[in-house]
Amino acid sequence: MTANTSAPNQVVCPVCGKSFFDERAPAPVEGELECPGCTREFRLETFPAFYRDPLNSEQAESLHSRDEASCYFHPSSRAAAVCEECGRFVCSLCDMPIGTRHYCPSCLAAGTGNQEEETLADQHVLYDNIAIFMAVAPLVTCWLTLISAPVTLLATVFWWRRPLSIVPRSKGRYVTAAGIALAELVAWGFYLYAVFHLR
Amino acid sequence: MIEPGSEGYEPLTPKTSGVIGGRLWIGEGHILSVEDHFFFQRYRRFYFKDIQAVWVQNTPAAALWAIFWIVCALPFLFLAFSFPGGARTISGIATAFCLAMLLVNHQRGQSCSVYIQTAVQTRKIAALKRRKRAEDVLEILRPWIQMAQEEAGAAGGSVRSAPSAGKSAARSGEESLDGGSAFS
Repeated sequence: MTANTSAPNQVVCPVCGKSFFDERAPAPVEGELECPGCTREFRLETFPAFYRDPLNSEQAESLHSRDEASCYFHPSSRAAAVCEECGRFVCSLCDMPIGTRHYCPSCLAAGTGNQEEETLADQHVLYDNIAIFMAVAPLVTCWLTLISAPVTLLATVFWWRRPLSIVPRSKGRYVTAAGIALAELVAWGFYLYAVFHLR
Repeated sequence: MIEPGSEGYEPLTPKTSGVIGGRLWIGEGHILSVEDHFFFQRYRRFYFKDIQAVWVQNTPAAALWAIFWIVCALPFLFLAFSFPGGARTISGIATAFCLAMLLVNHQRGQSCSVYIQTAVQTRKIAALKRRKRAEDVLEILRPWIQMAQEEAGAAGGSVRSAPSAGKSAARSGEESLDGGSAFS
């Protein structure tokens, strides 16, 4: 995964981070481009936001009178929104709109790891995949399934109600993991029966 | 029909395989890139009003896959003609499988990497690995991005005066109306 941060509105190679812009010969900012650093060829399509001046885009408004609500973080700035998490007034500079909701910077920072909040969650643990792994991986050693199979069944029951993902995802993997674990237990039952009763 | 304004997420692409599987979803005012790392999923949201640019880079992955399937098919083809009976049948099936995969690879078209640039980051989109699919997805997204940014522009925020800015914006607007592609 390549990711680089760049100053707004700059044409920077997404792979090597080299700037395409040469002051002596300004390059076009759309179409076929060749990176001056890594010589990779790109097709670039720009949108109006690319040409928006970042310096003029968002500025907090000053208080007109003492009766007006001010920003919690900037007391001299007029409040423009209310944080839906903590209820603080925030100015347009501190207002962090996520979809239709508004947050203050501190709540946004605190909430990005919160898996329950769909609009803020940045990752989810896939418990169903863990259950599948717990059911299948011990098959390599066979004997380990005697422990892993009941653990998998318990984990499946325990995790069943946990949210899986913020996007639609079926519980099929849980069912598969439980099915494999049950099959392992049945196999162990037959094996132990054969060892102790069919000698 | 995908409606970004609807509740929840609608799939925009099928799930891709690989070390990091990915899928694109469309949600309210944004696209969601979901990266599967087997034990966890990572989410990246790109709001239509924030998308500055889309980068598409051709990669040699498709050509390498074609070579791989040809190299796999050749020994089986040799075995199919060299041995009689059951071995011939099995080798024939294996050859047919490799050739089918070669055909599928060819059908999927040129491989590529797609990056989305916003004001603060440029991110690779794991779900878009073929140019044909990338163009289809951009075809869907282009009008939504244009609309969101026109609304944002009307609400405030000045546009920097660049020689190609107006032309580019106008061109993109025409394309979204015509349904044409900047990648064709």
